Amino acid sequence: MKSKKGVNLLTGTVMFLILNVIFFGIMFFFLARAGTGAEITEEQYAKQIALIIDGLREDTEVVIYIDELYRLAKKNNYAGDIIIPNYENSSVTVKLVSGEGHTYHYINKLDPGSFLLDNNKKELTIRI
Amino acid sequence: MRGKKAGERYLSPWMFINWFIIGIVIVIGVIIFLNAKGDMRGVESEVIAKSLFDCLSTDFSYNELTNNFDIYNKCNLNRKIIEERGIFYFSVYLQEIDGASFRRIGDEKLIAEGGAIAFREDCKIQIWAEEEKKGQFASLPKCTYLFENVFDKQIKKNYEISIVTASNQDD
Repeated sequence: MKSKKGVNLLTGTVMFLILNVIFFGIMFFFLARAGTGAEITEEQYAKQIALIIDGLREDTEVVIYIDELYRLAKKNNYAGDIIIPNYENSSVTVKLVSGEGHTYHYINKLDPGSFLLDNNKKELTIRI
Repeated sequence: MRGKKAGERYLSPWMFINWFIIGIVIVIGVIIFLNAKGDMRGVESEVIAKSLFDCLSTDFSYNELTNNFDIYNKCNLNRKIIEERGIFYFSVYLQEIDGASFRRIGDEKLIAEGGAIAFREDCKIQIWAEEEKKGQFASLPKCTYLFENVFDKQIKKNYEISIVTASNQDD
C-alpha cells in the first residue's frame, strides 16, 4: 500500500514537471518569435537612419553595418530592396518582408545617390 | 491538500487556471509591447535643434542671418517636407548680449520660422506646465529649447541664438 502511494506521488511529480516544461517551452518559443519580428527591426532601422541623417553635418559620410537586415530579409524569403530612399520626400523605407515596410522622414535635403548600398559588405553608406 | 492523492495535489484545476492566467498575461504584455511605437519625437527634436545650431553658428554672421536669410538653403533643409507634412516645426531667434555679463541687450529678433506653426503654442503649453501635468500632453509634439551664445568675428559682438524645434512624427 505504501509503495503504491510512492508510485502515485512519483507519477504526479513527473507529470507536473513535464507539463511545466511544456508550458514554459511554449511561452519561451512565443517570446523568442515575438522578439525577432521583422516589423520591429524595420521601424528601429528606419528611425535610426533618419535620425543619423538629421544629425549629420555637411560633407560627411557615415557607414552603417546592416548585416542584421540582410539576415532577417533572407529568413523571411524577401529578395527585394531592403532600404529604399525617397529623396523627393526626404524619407527612408526599411523593408524586410513583402509589404509596405516602415517609412520615416528626415528634414535634410539629400542629393540623389546619397544612399549607397553595398550588398557584398552588407553596409549602407550615407553621404551628405 | 494533505488528504489528497499526489496527482490531485499537483495536477489540480487551480494549477491549469494559474498557467492559463500566466500565459494570457504574457501574451497580452507582448502584444502591448509590439504595438507600442518607439517614440522618437523627443530625440528627433533635440537632434534637429543641435543640427540647426551647428549650421547657424559655423562662421556666424549677424548680417547674414538678418538680411533676407534663407535657412532652408543655408542648412540644406527640405522645405517641402517641413512646410507640407505638418510634423516638424522650428523657430530661430537672435538677441544681442553683453560680452562680459552675458546680459541681454535690446529686443529678440526672429530670423527664421517654419513648419507647423501651431506647434509653437503646443510647445509653450508644455514648457509652462507643471511637472506632474506633463503626462497629459503625450499627444502633443515633443519640443526642444536650445540657447547658446555665439560671437560675430566681423562686428565683434556676442549674440544668443534661441532655437525651438518640435517633432510630431509618430508613424
